[in-house]
Amino acid sequence: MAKGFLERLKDEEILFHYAPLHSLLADWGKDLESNLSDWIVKNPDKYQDALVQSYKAGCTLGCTQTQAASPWRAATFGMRDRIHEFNYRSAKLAREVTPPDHYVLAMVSTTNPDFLEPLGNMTYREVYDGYKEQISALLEGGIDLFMIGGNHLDEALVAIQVARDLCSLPIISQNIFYTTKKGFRTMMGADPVAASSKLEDAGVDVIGGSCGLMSKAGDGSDYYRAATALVTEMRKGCSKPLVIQPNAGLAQLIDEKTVYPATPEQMAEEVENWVCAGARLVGGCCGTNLNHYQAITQKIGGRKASQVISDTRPRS
Amino acid sequence: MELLKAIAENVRNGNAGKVTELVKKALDEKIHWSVVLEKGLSAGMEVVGHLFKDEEIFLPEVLMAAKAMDAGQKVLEPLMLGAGGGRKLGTVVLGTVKGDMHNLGKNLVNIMLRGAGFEVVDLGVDVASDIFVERAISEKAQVVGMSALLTTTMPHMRTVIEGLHKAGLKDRVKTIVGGACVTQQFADKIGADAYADNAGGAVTRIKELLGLK
Repeated sequence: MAKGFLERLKDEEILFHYAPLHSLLADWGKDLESNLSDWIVKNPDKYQDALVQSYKAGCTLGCTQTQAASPWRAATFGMRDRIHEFNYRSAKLAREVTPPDHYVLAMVSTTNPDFLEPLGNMTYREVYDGYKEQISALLEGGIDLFMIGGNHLDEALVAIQVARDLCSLPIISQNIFYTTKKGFRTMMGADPVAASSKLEDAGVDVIGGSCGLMSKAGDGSDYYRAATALVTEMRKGCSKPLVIQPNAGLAQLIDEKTVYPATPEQMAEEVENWVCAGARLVGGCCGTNLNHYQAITQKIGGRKASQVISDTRPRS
Repeated sequence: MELLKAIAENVRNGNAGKVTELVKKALDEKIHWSVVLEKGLSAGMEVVGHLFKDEEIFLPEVLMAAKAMDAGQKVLEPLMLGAGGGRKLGTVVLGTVKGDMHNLGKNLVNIMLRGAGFEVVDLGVDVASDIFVERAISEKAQVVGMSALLTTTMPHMRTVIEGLHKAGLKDRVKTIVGGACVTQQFADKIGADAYADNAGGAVTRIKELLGLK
């Protein structure tokens, strides 16, 4: 099944990834503060239902939402001894509801709160062993491919190495980029060209960017147009299929309610430009809900990437 | 003085080994530790704060500079302790509010404040509102700094401010808030004395609050 994923991308198919299951779960009663993995094992039905809803909305990939299930994040919540449970259960629950031609995507995030040496105090060995513990449990639960990424490329590279050492499943890896006066940069200062190039060298199959793109000003459309610019930059650094998952703008607290500025219509308006710039796997991050997905899957309308490109850019 | 300039430069470049060596050398040359601290280590961190704020450098450079500053302070520590803790600009009680586990922004503010010469009492993450108040009192703090990343935890900032006011500390303890989703508008609404959108800016705002230049 996993092999099929890369073949489909090669065949110019556009696939959809629903990353922010946590945004949906928040709408369904999951508070933002508690550990997501702990919540998932306590509410398996809601978690599975959210995955099913995301598949119904047109998503090809279902995410395990195990970003808070690394040894480091779990330890922050006093749950260091539950790594196997968190990862195994999330993967297994996802497997149970994932239809044929859809894929269980294992989410592996960067360490937090400490960093890999020399910036932080963790040795390569510690980080390697921590990821090994998490990834082994995910594999045991039954996954099809990896999504490895976050704020720190060097740590992602360790997790990529672990995944490569343990299995031959495809790896998607993406960085979180922010808008700075120097252009897009990761929190660690890497630019999209260099970051993408490093990931290609590490043997990653699909390369991309997510979340971030933060700016306190701006209309929802600005975030999605920035995503097009980011894909264009990443294309300069590697030749792999690209993935893009911008957030729905920066969250605002209005009348005690969390509001994200970017709308499904604004996302649908821009999604073809992402494909034209090189994206083959598209989706959204924080604040993106299922309406956004319905809007973009309808817009793409089952067309292949080459078709979208010829439809969008009239031949000159 | 060349030596102090070299210390500042090596803090800026995150060279902990060199900073340790130069600070020892400065003390050997009978330069007072407080001068080494202010014109060497703090001067270096101040440059780092400005460069970070201006997006000329990013997190790795800040973390490495902080390590270099800490290495230098370690050499000065015995002398500072002997002098009753050194010449501090003031005490800031700092933490991420209740329910929020995010520490990165708060840690950066800690680094920048220590670099600028403040005493920082870091309460960590998920700090209950009454703990902020209790510690502000017990540490005789001039400032309470609060961080939150989540929109759902931001309202706890208001609880802390109200707690400080109830404790009769409205004039004695200043408050400053920050975090990705926090805005000046929100800060005004909850009655915070100041808001900053980055760690370098937090130092500037706090200095303004305390009437320091």
